[in-house]
Amino acid sequence: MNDNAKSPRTLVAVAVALAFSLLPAAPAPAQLGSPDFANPPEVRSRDKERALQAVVRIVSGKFTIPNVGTENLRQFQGWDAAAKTPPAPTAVSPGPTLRARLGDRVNIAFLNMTDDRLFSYTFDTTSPPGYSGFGCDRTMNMPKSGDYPGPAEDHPGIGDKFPNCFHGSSTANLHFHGTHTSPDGLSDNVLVQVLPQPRQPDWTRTFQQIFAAPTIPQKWGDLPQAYRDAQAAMIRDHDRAAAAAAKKNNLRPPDPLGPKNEVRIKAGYWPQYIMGAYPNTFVIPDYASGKYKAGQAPGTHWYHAHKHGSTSLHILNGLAGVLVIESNAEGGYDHVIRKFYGWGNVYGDHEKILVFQQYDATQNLQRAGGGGGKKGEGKGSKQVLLNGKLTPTITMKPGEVQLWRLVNATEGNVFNGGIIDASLFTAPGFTFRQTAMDGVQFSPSNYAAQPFLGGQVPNAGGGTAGLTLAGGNRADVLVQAPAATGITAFKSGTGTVFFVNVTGPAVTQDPPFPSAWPEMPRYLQDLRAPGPKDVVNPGSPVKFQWEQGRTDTGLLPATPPNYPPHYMINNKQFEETGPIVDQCMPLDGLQDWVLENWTTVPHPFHIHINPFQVIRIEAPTGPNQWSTYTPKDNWVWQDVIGLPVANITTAGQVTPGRVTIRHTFVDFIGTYVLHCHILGHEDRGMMQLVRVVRASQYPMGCQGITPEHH
Amino acid sequence: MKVIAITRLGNQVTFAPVSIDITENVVFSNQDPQQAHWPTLPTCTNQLGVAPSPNSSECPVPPPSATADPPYTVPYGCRYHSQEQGTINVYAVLAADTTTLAPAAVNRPIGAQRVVLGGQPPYAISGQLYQITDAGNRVIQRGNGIGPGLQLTQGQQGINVSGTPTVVGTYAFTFTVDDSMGRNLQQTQYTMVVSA
Repeated sequence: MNDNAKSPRTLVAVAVALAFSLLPAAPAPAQLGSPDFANPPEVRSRDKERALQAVVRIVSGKFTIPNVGTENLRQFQGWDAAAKTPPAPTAVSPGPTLRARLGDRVNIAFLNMTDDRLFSYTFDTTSPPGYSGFGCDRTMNMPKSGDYPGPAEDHPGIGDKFPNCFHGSSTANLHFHGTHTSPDGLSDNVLVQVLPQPRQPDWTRTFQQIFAAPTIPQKWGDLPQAYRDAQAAMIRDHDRAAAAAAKKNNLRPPDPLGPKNEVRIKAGYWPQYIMGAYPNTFVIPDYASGKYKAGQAPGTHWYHAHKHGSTSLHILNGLAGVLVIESNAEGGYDHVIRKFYGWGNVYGDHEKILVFQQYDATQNLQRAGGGGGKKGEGKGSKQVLLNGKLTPTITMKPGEVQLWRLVNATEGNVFNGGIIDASLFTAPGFTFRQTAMDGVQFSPSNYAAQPFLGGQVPNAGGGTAGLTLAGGNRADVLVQAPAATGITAFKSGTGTVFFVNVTGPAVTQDPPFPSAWPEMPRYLQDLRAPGPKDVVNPGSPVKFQWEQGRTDTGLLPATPPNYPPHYMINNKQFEETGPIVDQCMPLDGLQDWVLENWTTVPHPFHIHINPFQVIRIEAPTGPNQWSTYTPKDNWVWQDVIGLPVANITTAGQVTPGRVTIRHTFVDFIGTYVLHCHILGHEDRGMMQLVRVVRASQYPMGCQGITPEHH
Repeated sequence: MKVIAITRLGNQVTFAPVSIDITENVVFSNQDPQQAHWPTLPTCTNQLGVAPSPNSSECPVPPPSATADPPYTVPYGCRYHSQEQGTINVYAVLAADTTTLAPAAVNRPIGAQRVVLGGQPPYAISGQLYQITDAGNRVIQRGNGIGPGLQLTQGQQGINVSGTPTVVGTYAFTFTVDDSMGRNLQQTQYTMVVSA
């Protein structure tokens, strides 16, 4: 056969190649190599049982981060409890989207199967008395000028102090961000610490027994004896092993955990330290049931690991997923949207779940040279991925409308793209209509006025007003594609986060968005102003601060020299001296709080369990000057809000940014937290312990036994 | 972050050689069931016991001198056992170099241009895609590869583009690179204008 002769197979190949290469002229694709967008995997509530029955485990090992490479990471993996255990994944991804309805029971067997041998040595506790710094993770023998701020024993006088330092990163728990449920026991309990256990007893039957009980266990003693006994034994074994390991590593042994648990159990509280597995369970409050003073707002919520000292590393590892809570009753949020568009009983392809994340194996402050040195930050901390993919492409038809549920699950670092910028919603040709913020639907007035997309709400960072998502924020947005085909880059700031390819036959959707919007359910209507009979919060204003005299971020050039900011609230860090419950409120209390920002970082304020209404935003425009945003009513409900940055003169005069919020503390007593949702700040102390007690116990019950830390 | 395994085979203890990029830290993991070890990396002062929790803290890897640029090698030893030695190879971050290539003329060879630098060679290249657009920004060709007449070649310090472009228009191409220490680079958009 000579060179010009071709086999039939070759001819077919040539024909295919020609068909592929000789295309009719078409708009140029914007991005070669962009993967197709895909929603995260999903676990749905079971219809007949009215319950979400899921296993969510943390697996560890080598995972591939696009455009970074393979790293040892911890990842969520989840599935319906009736399904077989799937093989562990190898590519990064958010955890499964959990989808439930108002009134459903959520039962999650949470298994922390982290293999801590894959990660650096890390402590859960320190040694009393005081906070010696022992227990903090260390990047050993860093220069005393302190690229990384801690711990104190490496950086006398300026180092981080336990527990307000990076530590305990193989220990975890689950926080259900945005839920209105109990902060105690088996529910949204971020004070529990579930230690790693790669090989675990089979808890299936025990947990099923807990999940099948008609009432949720309220006391540790309500749990099956076998689970309690096994936990006590495993914690004892852990204490022995930890002491031995510390000794072998030439370190003092950490505090044993077993005695700490015993103290709490004897006092009638839940133990704080659990080995391996935890049966998270709660009911999603349905206001229509008549059992609650405030129901759960249906919408886009999320879950993530929330263990103090490791929230930032966990979120950088990707330990986050979406929790969609639907209201399918006539007139309910989801019912209204799907009925208008004729989407049926499920959203299907009309709904896009957009989880923005930054994946990295190490926090920036733990890298040598972090903050501008030679090594600097990892590439993973600088790029925003969408559902674990680098700049994927969403496909829409011309004129099509989709519901986008956007979740900022980044670490929140404002200098690394951790704020999803308003520019995302300026893509040419597209039209947007926001329907909810932080999982709470808009009122008809706000649906019409569009306070974020319309630019009325000021930008906390001082940039262009619009819909910005700080770390932890969510937004539901109806998006209509333009009539013209083509590919459009969606950018946050200057960085492209994803593309939308408008292609195929046009869709007629007229009007593009619902012209009528449902009234707010009663429990989401405007809260009344607090009156003289309402208990005033003694902890307000809540001041987000750094060291007095600091005028900017970065390394402080004054004495003591060269260390990054120490973040605090009301002049102290989490759990520092004095009463450690920082905010205590009576059940059913109604309060206005003023949140103040005394720094140049737009800290996102977040409080668990009850959302708040944003009454007033005061953004400094100069010394003792503010631009004020004060809607007269229809205050937007949120659970995260970026605080406007302070104006700080070179002489050190501070004009703080201010936000006034109104909230009520109903249905659930218990202990939880508020904090900055730049999670590195949370880990390093920008957090307060919050407690709601029965009115009859206020304020006597505010400072009873408290968790050690969380 | 890379884990450096310390293992024993008979009387031989090995500190596994490891390669990192300049932004990475290392963690030592003592998997020797018999002895503690103490790597003398200046930035890491852990004595490493045996199982069950044998890992060190995260250890930054310093350059051999303040002015050193990667690639370089950091040798270290064991404080307890002088015969035990290890090395850490440090490379520059795998990154795109030139993304807008010098204009070229059709059917004329181009000089090699570096498009990727850093990382640890050799490199695995995959996912090559190209498209060529005309002056009206309309796609006139697309397919696998980096475009007719062009190819990627590996060098010691990166990846180069060379060849002879055969189509008039604007070449756009991308490819995925995985280097030998697990770093990844993808979706970088390269362009080259080829005139008649």
